[in-house]
Amino acid sequence: METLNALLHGFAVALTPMNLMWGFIGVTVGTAVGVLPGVGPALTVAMLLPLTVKLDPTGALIMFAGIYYGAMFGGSTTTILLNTPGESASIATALEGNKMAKRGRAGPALATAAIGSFVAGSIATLLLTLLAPLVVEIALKFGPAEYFALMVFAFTTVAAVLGSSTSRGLASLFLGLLFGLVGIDSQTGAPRFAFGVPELLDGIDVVVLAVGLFAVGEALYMAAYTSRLPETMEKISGSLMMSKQDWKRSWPAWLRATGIGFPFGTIPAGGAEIPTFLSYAVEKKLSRYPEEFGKGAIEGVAGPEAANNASATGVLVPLLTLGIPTSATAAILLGAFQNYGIQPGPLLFQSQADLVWGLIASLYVGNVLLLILNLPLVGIWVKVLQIPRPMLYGGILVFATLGAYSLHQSWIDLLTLYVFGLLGFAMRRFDIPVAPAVIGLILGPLAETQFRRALSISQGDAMVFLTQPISATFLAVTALLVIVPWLLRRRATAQGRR
Amino acid sequence: MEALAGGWRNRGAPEAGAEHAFNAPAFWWISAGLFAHMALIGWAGFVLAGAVLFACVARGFGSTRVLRDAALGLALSLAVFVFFVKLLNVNLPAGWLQPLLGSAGI
Repeated sequence: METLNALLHGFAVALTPMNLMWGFIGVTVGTAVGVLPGVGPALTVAMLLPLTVKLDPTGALIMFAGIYYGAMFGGSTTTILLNTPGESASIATALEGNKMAKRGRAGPALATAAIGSFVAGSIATLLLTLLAPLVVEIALKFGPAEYFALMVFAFTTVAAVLGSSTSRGLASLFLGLLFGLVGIDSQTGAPRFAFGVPELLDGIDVVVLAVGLFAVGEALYMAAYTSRLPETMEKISGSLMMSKQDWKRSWPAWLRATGIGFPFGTIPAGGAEIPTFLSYAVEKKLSRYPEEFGKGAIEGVAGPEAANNASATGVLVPLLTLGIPTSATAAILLGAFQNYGIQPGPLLFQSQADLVWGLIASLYVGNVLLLILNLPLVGIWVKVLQIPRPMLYGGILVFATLGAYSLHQSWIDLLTLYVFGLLGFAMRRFDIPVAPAVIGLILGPLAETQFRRALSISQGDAMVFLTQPISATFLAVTALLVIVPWLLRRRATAQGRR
Repeated sequence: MEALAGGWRNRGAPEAGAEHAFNAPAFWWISAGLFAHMALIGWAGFVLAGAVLFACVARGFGSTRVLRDAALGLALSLAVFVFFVKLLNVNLPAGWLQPLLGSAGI
């Protein structure tokens, strides 16, 4: 009941004409930018962050939620028509979606992706509404030691357990943690790694890091290694309408995928990559037409797309209630909160109830807007896809530099951006994931603060992390997550030798 | 747990990894564009710096119509400038175009 009241109040906030307009601008711009090939949700959100500096926090965050959702919707269009997944979570969609498009079924593929995203997004938002207050209740009992242990757990899952290789994930994470140290130490005021450059005293902004790694790095990589390759785009031929059979095959996939995607989003499990592949595998197993998989089965689009969106919403649970980002996009959203001096966490639900519930309500609204925006208007977004690569990347870099420059009006930030671009180029080339670095940058300083608080409470006794039951549990699970797969691999190789 | 932790690791992107040999001019054109932008932005202003950046990046991606690219870049950064400065009150330097654009930031 209390939740319902809060939510209704949230709708009152989200449906004021101004906030509705910010939401609308957010979903439109988010879709338009998210559609661009090679621009995933994380980059979209990072590039558009400077858009909001002069808005009031509620309007800005509502716009941001719109951009976040819009980028997810837009990305699926690109994935299906171009077969260039903008991020790892779209790979599963590309498997079947592009095959469908090649067989002249691009319309139904886009439709099942859009409607599936809507269904999954709406159900997941409902789950978020119900779950968030419960998590807040638990989180209120957390002290610094618990938070620190939870963050260690998040670091480990994001960097070491998931992704293509543990060492690469850890390398990326520690780079991010290192960059997080740059700037004035929040506890003592001492400058760290600033090298006397005033622009660095503020620390490295998540916008500069994310845009540098994603946009500049990607542009350098694409120009140097792929710009001379021919590209193909599938046309939308025939109707957008899904046949009766398409519907019948899609809706169970949507629902199952929501069930898979949402829980994965809520735990720190590194975003939407696992649930989308899991959903793909489940649909393949359950489908009555398994022979169609690999040639364009509609369940293979419906499931992963829905899972992707459900998990994107699930990510908001730990972000809003605990202040812990579990994907690169969430880390950038957290950066947006911090720009307004807001630290997401359990207290936010009390101190800024208007803002939080307005944001949650705007997710419901945003989903509806996106369905309207994406289905009938898909033709416009397809036009966006046809922008030739040279113009596309020219435009992306104009926006990328704009974001970095607007921070301090200084060319130093542009130089930093270029340096991160070179780093992103190298990471792309050597297949090192970028997300752990972005999460490390944002979460590192928070973890440090909690660590030092915990130690000052315990008067320097480091055992505090092991004697508190909740904290000890988190750390134990973290240790198991690292050790068990390693042991299993060792056993497997040992057996192989025998 | 094994399936969760490692089962999805070895699936690459479909048809990903298609790349040609390192194209040095492409790499340098983009770098040059970014450095030119750095040098120009505080002095010539956001719009002109953006146009130069746009043209260099397009050149790096294999476009050969430099003048058309510069014109497109000019139009885009002008639109961005007007949108951000006049509508959203973001502070950007007008530079040499100050007499035309009026003062930034209003």
